[in-house]
Amino acid sequence: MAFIGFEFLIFFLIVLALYWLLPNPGWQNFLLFASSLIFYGWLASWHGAILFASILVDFLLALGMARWRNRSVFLMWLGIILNLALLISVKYFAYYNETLAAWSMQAGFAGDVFLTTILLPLGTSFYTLKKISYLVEVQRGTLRPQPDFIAFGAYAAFFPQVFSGPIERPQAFLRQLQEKRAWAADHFYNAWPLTLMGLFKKIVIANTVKVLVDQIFLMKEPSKVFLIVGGLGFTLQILADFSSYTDLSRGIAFLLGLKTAENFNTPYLALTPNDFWNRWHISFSSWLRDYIFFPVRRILLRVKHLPGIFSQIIPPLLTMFISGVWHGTGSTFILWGVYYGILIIIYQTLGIRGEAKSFKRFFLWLAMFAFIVFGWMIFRAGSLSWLWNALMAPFSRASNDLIAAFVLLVMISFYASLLFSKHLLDVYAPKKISLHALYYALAAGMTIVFMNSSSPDFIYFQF
Amino acid sequence: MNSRQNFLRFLTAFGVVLLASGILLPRRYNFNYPATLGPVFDARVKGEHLQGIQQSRPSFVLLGDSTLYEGVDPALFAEGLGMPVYEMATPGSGTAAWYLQIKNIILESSHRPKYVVVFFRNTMLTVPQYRTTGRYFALLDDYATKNEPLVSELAFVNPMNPVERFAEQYLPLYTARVEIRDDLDNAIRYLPPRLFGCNRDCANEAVSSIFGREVDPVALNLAQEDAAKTLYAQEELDFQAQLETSLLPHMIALTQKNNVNLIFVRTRIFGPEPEMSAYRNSLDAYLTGQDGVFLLDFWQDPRILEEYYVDSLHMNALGKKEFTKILIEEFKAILLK
Repeated sequence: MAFIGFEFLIFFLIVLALYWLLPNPGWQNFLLFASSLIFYGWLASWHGAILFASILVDFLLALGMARWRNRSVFLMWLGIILNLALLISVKYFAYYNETLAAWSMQAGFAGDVFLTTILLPLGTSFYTLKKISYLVEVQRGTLRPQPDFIAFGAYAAFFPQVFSGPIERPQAFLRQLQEKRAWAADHFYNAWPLTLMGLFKKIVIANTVKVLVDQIFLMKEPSKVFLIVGGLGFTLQILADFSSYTDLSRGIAFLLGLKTAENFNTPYLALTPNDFWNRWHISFSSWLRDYIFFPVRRILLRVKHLPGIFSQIIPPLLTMFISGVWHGTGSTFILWGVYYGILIIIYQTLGIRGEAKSFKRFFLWLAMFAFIVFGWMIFRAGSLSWLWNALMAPFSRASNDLIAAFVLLVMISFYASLLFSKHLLDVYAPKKISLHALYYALAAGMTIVFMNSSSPDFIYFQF
Repeated sequence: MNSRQNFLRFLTAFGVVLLASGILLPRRYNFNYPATLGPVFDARVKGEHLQGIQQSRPSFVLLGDSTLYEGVDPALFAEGLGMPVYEMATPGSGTAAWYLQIKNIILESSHRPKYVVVFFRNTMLTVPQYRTTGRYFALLDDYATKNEPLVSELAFVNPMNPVERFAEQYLPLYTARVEIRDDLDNAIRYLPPRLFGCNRDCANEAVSSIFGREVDPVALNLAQEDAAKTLYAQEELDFQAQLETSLLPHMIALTQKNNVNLIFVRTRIFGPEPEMSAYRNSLDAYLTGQDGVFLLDFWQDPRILEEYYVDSLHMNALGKKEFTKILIEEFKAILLK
């Protein structure tokens, strides 16, 4: 079930109405858990069954960790391995999908290789990371294991986040699930701008720019000018697309009286690669930082006689490699991850920290923006050979190339300006209510105009 | 900032936008309230194929999308059968276009072919709304007369949910969305190049040159598989439920009434497909139970090899030749019946 659709609207209105009619947090959590399983298993009920089973296993492992402290490390690793095995099997090995489908048919569910291949990986990437962070925090003793299975299930399977994040940390969210929640007008006032912006970014910007970007990346032999325009277009598309999903997810959570994590903070204004990852997909990058980067660095620092350079190079490289692998199965994703690892190392080695002012700051931003765009070119390319050919191609192949590239660039710039003008409003006129109201009204009007013209899938669904 | 005040200001501004659009748009785009549900076709029907059929007087007319164009060699096919064949492959077409082609071209022709052959895959025959909106609408309009109530109802109005129906009739921004988008798109596309002396034709030629360029097969495959997902929606796999809201029975009734045999050819594809044996069995039973209707099923035919394909749907030159030969044999068997 996609967020943008009549089916989801009906589903959510029913859940919302029931949710606020229920008398206590226990029942509300039960509704959240049950509706999340329905949402996830909408097309194939056994997907919901897999999610339920994996949640149950992690719940029991966490309780086991608290009970047998001397075996908590073993239990944590068991949980991590099981989660990763599920993630890797559904994401990387097609034959596992066939086996899973066959098992599900034997178990009486409607098994389907197609659904497994396409749909099961959607979301698995997100909820496994949530559950791993829960297991690690419980093992570290920074979080008490949740004794209420329903509350834990509502956290792990929370439907606004199950397909595309944010990767919510357990501490804050589980605390909210234990508290009494009553309807307040503020829930709505917090939700509507996020929901509106989510729809606007997805329907008006991302879906429209996607058509242009797809066309460029479909070319067999693009000239360099098209690669540049396509890269710029995709830079806009992926931000609008992914952040729209986060906005919708947060808006829906607010309507349920729950505050969830922010995921973006003007990432394209970053001055360094570290800065970029602190602003882009924040919930994922902070997950990587806390559960991969720091632990690896700590381990390397503890190794005696190991040259210091290793503890400088290996953590960012490994972290970004894992980030690439997590994002997709192709070699382009791995290269994209390694590319960021190398960038981080270079910036660190050169001591560039993004603390410059005025003129130098502008050049730092420009360089980083160019690196980001190039990164997205790697990410979006169909294959490494395609990317290589495009990079080696002449700047333009035909006389029309420059005109066509200019036309596409103008179109992309127009849609970028819609997003940029919101940023200018937020920064330079945060208190001008009427200007904001006008922007939102025009955004709502444009959303109506652009509705029902493109496919409703989100880019980050495939992760 | 006061949250309530923010929302009220937004509501006021949005109210003004709705009011202004409610007054201005019906005048600019010439529609009334409640606006008519469904598309507005122009009266012109593309005459090229009508003349083609009348001139070539074929026994077979082949209908289908780009998979037909890339998969069947009409000259070889005609030679193999010893009968004239007319190919009407329309890349990007679907059942709605095929229905209109049968009704407004083939059956309007002074020459009546003996067989109409429709090349389809997966659930295409029972998803009338597939390839009807956006850029596909112009293609559909080529074969539609001014008044096409059946296509309008089944391909456009039926798939709408209640919110869409309301918006289509009473919300001018939604009613005129295609025209507004066209105007906006044209303004963005044509105005800036004009600053450099590149007029509308110049911009069109430049853009169409890249949109018509040779595409990367791997990327195309992914895009096609992505597009095909709409054909695999859960409700589309329920044959019985889809049949009565599809154009298939009408297509069959039209040809039966005019004594034209209808042959459906299910092509083989090499992309991921959902489990749809129940759908397939029901469709097969339905088609084979109709008078004057034949089904040729190649979806798992071992004679059609993966090496015949350039992507999951389209054949290469070798595939086109081999598949045409296979088709000739199968058609000969039908002709004997």
